[in-house]
Amino acid sequence: MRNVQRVYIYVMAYASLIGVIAGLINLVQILLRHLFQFGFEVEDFALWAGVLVVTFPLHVGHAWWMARLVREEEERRAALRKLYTYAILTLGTILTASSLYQLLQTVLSPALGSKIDDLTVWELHLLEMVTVLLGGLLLLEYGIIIIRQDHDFGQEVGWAAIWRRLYIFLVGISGLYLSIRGAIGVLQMGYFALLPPVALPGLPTFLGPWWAVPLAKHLATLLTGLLLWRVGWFWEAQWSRASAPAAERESLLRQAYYYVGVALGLSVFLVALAYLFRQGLLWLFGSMRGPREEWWPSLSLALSALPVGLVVWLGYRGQILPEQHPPKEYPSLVERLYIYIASAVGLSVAWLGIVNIVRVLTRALLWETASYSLTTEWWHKPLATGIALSVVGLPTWFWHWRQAQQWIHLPHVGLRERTSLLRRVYLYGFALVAGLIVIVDLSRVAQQVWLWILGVESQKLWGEIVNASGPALTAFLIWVYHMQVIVTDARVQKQPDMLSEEDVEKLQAEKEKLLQRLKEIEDKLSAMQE
Amino acid sequence: MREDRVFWTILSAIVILVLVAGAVVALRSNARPHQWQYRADESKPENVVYNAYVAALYDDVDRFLSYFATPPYGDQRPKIVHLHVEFTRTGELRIGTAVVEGETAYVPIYIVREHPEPLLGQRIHVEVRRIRLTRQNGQWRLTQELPGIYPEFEAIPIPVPPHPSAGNDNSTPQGGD
Repeated sequence: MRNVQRVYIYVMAYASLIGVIAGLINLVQILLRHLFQFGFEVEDFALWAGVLVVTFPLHVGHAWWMARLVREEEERRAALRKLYTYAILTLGTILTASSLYQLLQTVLSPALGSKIDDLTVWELHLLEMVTVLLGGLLLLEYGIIIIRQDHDFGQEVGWAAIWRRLYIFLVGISGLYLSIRGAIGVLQMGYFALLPPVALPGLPTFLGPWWAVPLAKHLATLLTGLLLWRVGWFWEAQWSRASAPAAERESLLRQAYYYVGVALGLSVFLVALAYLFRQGLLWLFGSMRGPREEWWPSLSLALSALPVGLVVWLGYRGQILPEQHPPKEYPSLVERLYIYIASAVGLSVAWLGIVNIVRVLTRALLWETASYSLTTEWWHKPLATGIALSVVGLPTWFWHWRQAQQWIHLPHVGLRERTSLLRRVYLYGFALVAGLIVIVDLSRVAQQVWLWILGVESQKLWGEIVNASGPALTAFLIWVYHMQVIVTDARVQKQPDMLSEEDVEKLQAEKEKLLQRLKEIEDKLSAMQE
Repeated sequence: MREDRVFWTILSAIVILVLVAGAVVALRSNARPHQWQYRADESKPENVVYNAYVAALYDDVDRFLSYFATPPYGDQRPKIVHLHVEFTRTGELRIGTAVVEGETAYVPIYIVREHPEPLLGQRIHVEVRRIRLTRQNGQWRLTQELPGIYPEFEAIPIPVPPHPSAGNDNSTPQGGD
């Protein structure tokens, strides 16, 4: 009954609050447009004034109702109240961050030299953004006041704590993504300052330098991102301390925050590394041709992404290393999820790379028979791509898969890992995909062989073999390896002397019970003897 | 967050940057379109192209149209009332040196565009447009439209059909003998 009442109050309060904020922002913007001589939109004014007139008293009424209910401890700790609070903070954060980005971009672009279309429009746009920013800050302050009233920040339990963790997680991760994006963009513009992407004649600039708008965008993204990132990082670090409650320190969302950071940093770093490796090989093969604007933007992007990815990866890895499970304990779900996903990505990338290399090799060996009209450079791009992907993918897979393989040899918990759903999804997933590729590719070859036997279409035989053998051979090797791991896991499970962690726990409990009973009997006996 | 110095440092840096950037914009004369100066020497084709852009920036329709050999944008019916120079669609616009071939001249215009990539970074694209001019009564005049300039035409009043009830008394015969 109480929950139904709560749903009503908080949904009504939230909906009316959105109406109040939207009404206020729009009314101020309409008045600003009127002040700047852009006319007075009567219909819009009537609409938003109407919304404000209806929603403001509704919100005040429901807020008053909430204030009465909140005198009770139970209400202050209710999960729905926390959802309401963090929904307000989320809306406030979105409005504040988006308007701050727009504001920074609008101010920085002309400051860096780009021309303003119309000064009045520019000033109006700036003030409109300030209005949205103030609306967002108002919501943030409102949410913070509710949190202060509740006096339980960081001590919530159950879903009440999850809403807070989710908010901090989302703010932190979106801030990290924006910071990475902005930092890469700013670095890329730095490279462009050293070597412009286009060779323009030294003529007077008519509209201002071309780089002013993108540089302003990247700086705005970086600064907005850093602000959000710091909120997430600060709170997650607060709960990393040994003095923090165990529930906070060990929460899945806090661990996910750090592992997502590691994954983001590592992905950016590896993609940039693979691209640089590929371009380096193409340069060695003599294939880097064409005008500068075709290759320099991508190359400078990779050169910018490399250090940014490395810093993020090492920074987040440095945070999780001291918190990782002790060597003999079972790892957390988030850690295991990360290891299996990273292994899967690494293996998929390496697989793609090896297929490219094997295709080039089979074509090189069989091209005369296949009678293809090949140019001398046909192998440059697939070979460079294949080597780059393999060089990046194989160590990534090996590094992470080795960790997963170490877990299965841990005493007491090894069997639990061998039978875990995550491991099975990983192993059977790869075995299935590899098996299907083998079936499809070998069927194609078999079809051509049959046609050749029957004397039809014999010209395509070698072509099909060339195209299908690379993927089929690679997939076959991957299928064999994963099937072998699956069989080993199954064999170990069948050994009678191997006990799962669950079995060990049961036996320990039984032993404790028996010892307790023995002690009781001994006590009774000694009492009788006395 | 109150005790987090890093957060407040970032926030202070943003506020200072916005204030400094605002001051720079206020002080920069070339940020304002009305600071553009016409070039006096119109014997050079590139100066004619340049002045046509400046006229468009000032929204001076008559002067802008005077730089054309024949009226641009169709027969100008309806009439052009405003000119908009769309900077946001163009990263940079440079006017090059003219190549004169008798009574015809070609002025290269370099348009640099920046396209953001979906995830990270950006691509840079340069488009070179050769604007053709012809000599007319000893003066260089444009024979084609200029990129980045968008005319706003006079609104044509749409004829409103008479309301069906307007002429009922006279046109609809009333029945009955």
